[in-house]
Amino acid sequence: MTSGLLLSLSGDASAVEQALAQLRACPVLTLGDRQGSWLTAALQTSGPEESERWHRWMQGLPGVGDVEVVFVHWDDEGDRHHEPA
Amino acid sequence: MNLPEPDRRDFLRTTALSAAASALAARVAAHGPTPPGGTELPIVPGVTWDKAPCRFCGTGCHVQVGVAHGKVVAVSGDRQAEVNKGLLCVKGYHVGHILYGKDRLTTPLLRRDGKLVPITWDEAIDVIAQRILAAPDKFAFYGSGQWTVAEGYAANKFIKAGLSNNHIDPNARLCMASAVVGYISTYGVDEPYNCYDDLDYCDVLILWGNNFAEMHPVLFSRFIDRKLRGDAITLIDIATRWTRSSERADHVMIFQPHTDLAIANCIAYQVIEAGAVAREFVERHCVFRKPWKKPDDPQTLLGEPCSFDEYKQLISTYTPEAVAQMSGLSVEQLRLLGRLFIDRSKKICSVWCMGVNQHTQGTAMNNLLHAIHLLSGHWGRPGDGPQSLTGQPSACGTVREVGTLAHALPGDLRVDNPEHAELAEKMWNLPAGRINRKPGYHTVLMWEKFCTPSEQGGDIQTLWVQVTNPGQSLPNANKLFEAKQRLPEKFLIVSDVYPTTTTRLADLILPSAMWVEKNGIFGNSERRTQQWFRMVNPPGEARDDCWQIIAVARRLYDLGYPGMKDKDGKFLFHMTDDHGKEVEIWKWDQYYGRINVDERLYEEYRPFTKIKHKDVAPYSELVKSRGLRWPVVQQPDGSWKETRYRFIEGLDPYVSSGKGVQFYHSVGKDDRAVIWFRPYVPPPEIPDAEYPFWLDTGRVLEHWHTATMTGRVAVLKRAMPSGYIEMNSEDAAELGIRNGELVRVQTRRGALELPAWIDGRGRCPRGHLFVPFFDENRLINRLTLDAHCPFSKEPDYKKCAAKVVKVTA
Ligand code: SF4
Repeated sequence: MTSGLLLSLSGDASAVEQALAQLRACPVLTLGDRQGSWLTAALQTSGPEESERWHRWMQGLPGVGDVEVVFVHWDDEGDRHHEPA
Repeated sequence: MNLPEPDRRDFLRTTALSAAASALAARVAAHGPTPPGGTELPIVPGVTWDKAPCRFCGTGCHVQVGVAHGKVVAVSGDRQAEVNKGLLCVKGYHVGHILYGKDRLTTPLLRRDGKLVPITWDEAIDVIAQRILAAPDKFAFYGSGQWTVAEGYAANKFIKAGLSNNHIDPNARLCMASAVVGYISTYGVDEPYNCYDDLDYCDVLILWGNNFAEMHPVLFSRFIDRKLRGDAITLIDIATRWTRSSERADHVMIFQPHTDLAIANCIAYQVIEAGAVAREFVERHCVFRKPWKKPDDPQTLLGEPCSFDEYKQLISTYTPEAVAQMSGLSVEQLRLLGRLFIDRSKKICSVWCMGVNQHTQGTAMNNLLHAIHLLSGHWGRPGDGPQSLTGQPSACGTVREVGTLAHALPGDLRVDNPEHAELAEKMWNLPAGRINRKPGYHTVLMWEKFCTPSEQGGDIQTLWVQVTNPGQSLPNANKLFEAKQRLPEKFLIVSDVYPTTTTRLADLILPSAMWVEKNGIFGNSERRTQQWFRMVNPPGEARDDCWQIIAVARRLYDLGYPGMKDKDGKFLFHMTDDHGKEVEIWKWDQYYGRINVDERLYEEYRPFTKIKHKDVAPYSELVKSRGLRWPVVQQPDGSWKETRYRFIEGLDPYVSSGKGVQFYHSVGKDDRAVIWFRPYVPPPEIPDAEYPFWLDTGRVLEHWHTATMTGRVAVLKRAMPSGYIEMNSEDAAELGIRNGELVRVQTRRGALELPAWIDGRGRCPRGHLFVPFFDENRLINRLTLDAHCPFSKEPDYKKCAAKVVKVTA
């Protein structure tokens, strides 16, 4: 599953720098452009569950405000159907 | 193009990054009609893209839907969409997965000897037709703000022109009816005069009982982004509990439930006290009204006129000191609100949704929010005005504009207005008198009549539900839904996509197509009409809700039921192809054939919208756009122009030259808006010694309403798996309850066990409980109150009295 993300960075400069360092080190994340408080990234995982875990991790980092998803492709999950609620 | 796996991953990564980069460019330059940063679609091998509005909330974000091998495989925020400029919330980007839950309904099912057995569509249509033929006046339709415009229009015509009983009402009665009546009684006509652009221009945003961050997340981001860009803007959260919206607010004002009426009146008091009434505007464009003719009279919607001096006298008791006592806000907080409205240099946008609408004084509270803006002159400039939001994707388009309410006709007309009914008869080519002049049953009454034995006056025998889950969403559900179990003579038909709490009691279940499995049109919160085409086939035997209605109508026609004929004897849904030959759209194999039925129904409906200057755009224009805000009026060069702001000269094409501001459908036919005095009236149930807590219910970010769709999306389900009860930490400590422990919450209507969540995502003040309603295994609406606003008939889900005890093993 591949997602295009838009992260907003917030807080003091050192929190933002630390967050950036952790994001750069994340194995499933590729960082893209940064403009002001915003940063683009691509997240590639084995499926929605893993994506959700990383999403939460990013969201919880001091220095990260919001993590928004602007694109998602899941064709590589094959024909998997979703369990009922 | 087939790429090897590593290349494919690289390719998708680059695609994802460029999609994000475009959204970023749009974010950075958020003003302007079309976002810069490129509007091209992500190129993914084998994937074709088309536009559609998101299936979920009333925000009306547009998505690009990627289809490969007959399946939806990708979703991208639509960068050409003004509403969301390429962004989606957590629900939106999983919207494609809602089609593929394992338990999709794929065949009609009829209950025989207590068991649901598969039957053919032909049999199903026949069962419905026979039930209607047996007692057409005892048949009702319960619809939805998720109906597409064509579906709602077909259902409305079926009931009002076909069965002449007016028993049609939507679930939107439960969420925005108070906003409707608030608009009508203030401006004489429904729906906001303004639009989401206000979020881009306001200096102050006030949330009135509205968890904007979780309920309309993309709109919330649109505002919050301005803060990130350095705009000096203020967010004020007036709420009964701390939510995610509060986290971003500059001022959080937690008030005692139901006292919002007093707070609004206190703002009006301070504006008058400071001599800050927008005198010229008010004298030219407004009148005052108060609710009662005589103290003992029952309330009437129109009340009676009053002078400014009388209004001033009536409002004089709402001093900050008095309202502080009542509301729990401090005098300083109330003064802060007063100062904001007194200062005309700042633009104030007030938004609200369920907190104000689901209120036994919902109409009154809506009136007051309009009143404080009109009185203070915070009205009419972009960014300066009151605006209600809707929860469902087409509560405005299908319910309010198409008029799928028990009293309404398309285009804001009413069945009980003889001129309106005659006009509709003409437009539908019906014999005179076909439309019943008596409104049908509103939602609460409809379900009460259905769940009451026939011999005790329960005169609704057969009820057809489409695109909604009343078993979970109706208030006081033991009375208004579960009671059906004991009434074998009553017959419940449910069209849906998944098994739900409602299908559990259904006698006949019809499998429906959903979202991009069918053509559709929605109308969002800001008067924006949005169109999409079918992109994939529905599974199994699932079929469009609109087709289901037309097929039943045709069966009735074939069986000789006179209501399904117009005055020339033609079928009510008669349609012909380009050669004038009738198309048998009641046959599924012809429904998506030579003609676009959605387009035909929409174009048949469109003339109604011109009557009250709500002209929706031609279908062909919708196809080209990401939605257009009505009135959409043709320009001398042949192009079509939408309207961002109504009633304002230069912005609204229907305002007469020289008027400046003109409320051209005003209540008093004088082009003036009404500034209402509405007093604080106590709620019907308040905490007492036996039930000492306020119980509040609502939604969460991850799930959409009753989670019938989002509950099938593993990620969303995992993120928010089950219901819970939010409690204040001190209340919990006093009762010996710790986080995660099971508690029993009880009201006068029922009881439920849930795990406690103390100081979690939301934080309740002392004496307050909150339970979300998405969990079908924990049905909180069996406990809520069915007391409703006397005018809008919208129930109050936000407050009733409850008690809690810890569950011990
Ligand atoms: S904010 Fe509403 S319309 Fe927009 S993506 Fe989220 S659920 Fe869909």
